[in-house]
Amino acid sequence: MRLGDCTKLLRSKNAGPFTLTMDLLFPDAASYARGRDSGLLEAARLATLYGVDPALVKVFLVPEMLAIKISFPRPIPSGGEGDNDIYGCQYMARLARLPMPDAA
Amino acid sequence: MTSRPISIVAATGMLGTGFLEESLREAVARGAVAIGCDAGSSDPGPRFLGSGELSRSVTALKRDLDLMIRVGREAGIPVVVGSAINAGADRQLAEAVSMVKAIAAERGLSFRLAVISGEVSHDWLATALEQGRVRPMAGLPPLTRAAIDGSARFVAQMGPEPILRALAAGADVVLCGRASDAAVYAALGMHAGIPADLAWHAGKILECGAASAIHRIHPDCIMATFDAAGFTIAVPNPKMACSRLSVLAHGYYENADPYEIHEPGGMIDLSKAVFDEVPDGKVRVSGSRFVWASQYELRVEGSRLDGYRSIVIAGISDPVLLDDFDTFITGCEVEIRRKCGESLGLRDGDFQFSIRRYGSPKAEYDPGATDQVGLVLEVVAADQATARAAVMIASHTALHHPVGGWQGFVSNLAIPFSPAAFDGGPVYRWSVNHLVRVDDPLAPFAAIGPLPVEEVQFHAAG
Repeated sequence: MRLGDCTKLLRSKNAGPFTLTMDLLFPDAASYARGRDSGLLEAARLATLYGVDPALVKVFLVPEMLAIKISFPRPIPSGGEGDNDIYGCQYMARLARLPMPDAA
Repeated sequence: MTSRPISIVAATGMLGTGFLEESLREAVARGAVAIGCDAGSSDPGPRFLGSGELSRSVTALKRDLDLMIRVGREAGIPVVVGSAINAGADRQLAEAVSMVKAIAAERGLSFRLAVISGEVSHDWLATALEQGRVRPMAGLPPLTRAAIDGSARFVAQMGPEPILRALAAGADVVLCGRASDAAVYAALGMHAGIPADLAWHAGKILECGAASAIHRIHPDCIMATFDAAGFTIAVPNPKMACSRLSVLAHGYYENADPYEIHEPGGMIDLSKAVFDEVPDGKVRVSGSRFVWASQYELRVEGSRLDGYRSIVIAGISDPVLLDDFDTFITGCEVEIRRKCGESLGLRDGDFQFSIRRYGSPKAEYDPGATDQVGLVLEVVAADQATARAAVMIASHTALHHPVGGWQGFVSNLAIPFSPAAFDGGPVYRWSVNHLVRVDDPLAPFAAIGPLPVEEVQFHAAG
């Protein structure tokens, strides 16, 4: 099972041309807890996955809506040299593909 | 007439993407006292600010404007368009003015039009920098004089104040250059007497149109109906409905922080907001707060010209080539740079060259799909002719570059089009995304640019 399969929506998008933001919306409390406790959403791990400074990765837990939000500066600004994704909407794939650790 | 709750409707999330006429008329029948629409974004990239061109069809833009203005005039309620159009630069704003004047003439309408420029000059920004009024958005370097001088154009995102001034002056239709998306609705709400706390938060939800619905079937209207302590979000199209979660989730879309949304002059604080479902697919929101900043800051966006782009699109299927794909690509790149020097006199620093790969050479063959790995050969150079010349060298080189596993002369690229090369035109890069402290949130939008705020008594015959 992949992280994306545990959510009902995992999306990424620009929050302005220099920032990426990702939303993980979970279908129920159990999935939310599994995602939260998976170890996949630690700032350091996300920083490695996306090649950014871990100090600039923000992870917000939003339990009232069973959501986790992740924001960090884009590795390349929107439309900058080498950028492949002006809207930032496909950066979600790397996260969505991460294999979930087996449930304890 | 007994007092009816105040409602504000967003025609759609982005001008030119459409909405149903019935939906807008239904919102007005339910008591909407104003119609708003956002017409721009930084999302499509820096080109539109730099060049001032339009990314959307004039026909589609005019269709939406025409309906908004006709319905607004029939009901006698104001229409405000924010960030007209795309980047909200003066050239784009002038296009919006032309469209509105054409609509007035075609429909025989007469109304008061206000036009508010969002463009700020190089001098204005340089002065702000000298006065220490500029700070970078998170993760960006401080602004420099060189970055200002090297930029093509700047816009500042206006807050509600210039829009409120135009509405107070009696404008029926307000066309804004670059504006905060939510400020359009915050202004319409505050103009109708709604407190800033509610007007701003409702504006943030309204600005994307029906995107707050559970299933946004197509772009359409959304409305907020205010009460003493909150507001109720509803999609007038009966085929769409909102849930607590759909409205909540949309609040997080495109915002870096789920609880704090920074806007001109302050911050929408969602930490205490409460969302409750009410019958008929509506959601009531309460507990919204707008926290005024001690100093008023405007977000300024700038874009600089970086050259001209040409590309070639090609596919590679050859399994022997794909077995050692990286060697092939690396070898091509070296040879392409050598030949650009040989034939065109270009040195490495004279052009940007890249081979973008789509698909993996290691992927399992899928008989239902293509067996090709896609390539985009891209050159950005100082002028279009050079970019095109260099990308033709790139494509010819890759076409015949030797493949280790084959002996003899090879041809490697499946090129789908003739001619192979496409010119992308000017390439811009974001150069400025900084906050500028201002003493008066109206000042930049009154004094700067060729289209300052003007109240235009406009008649069809005139």
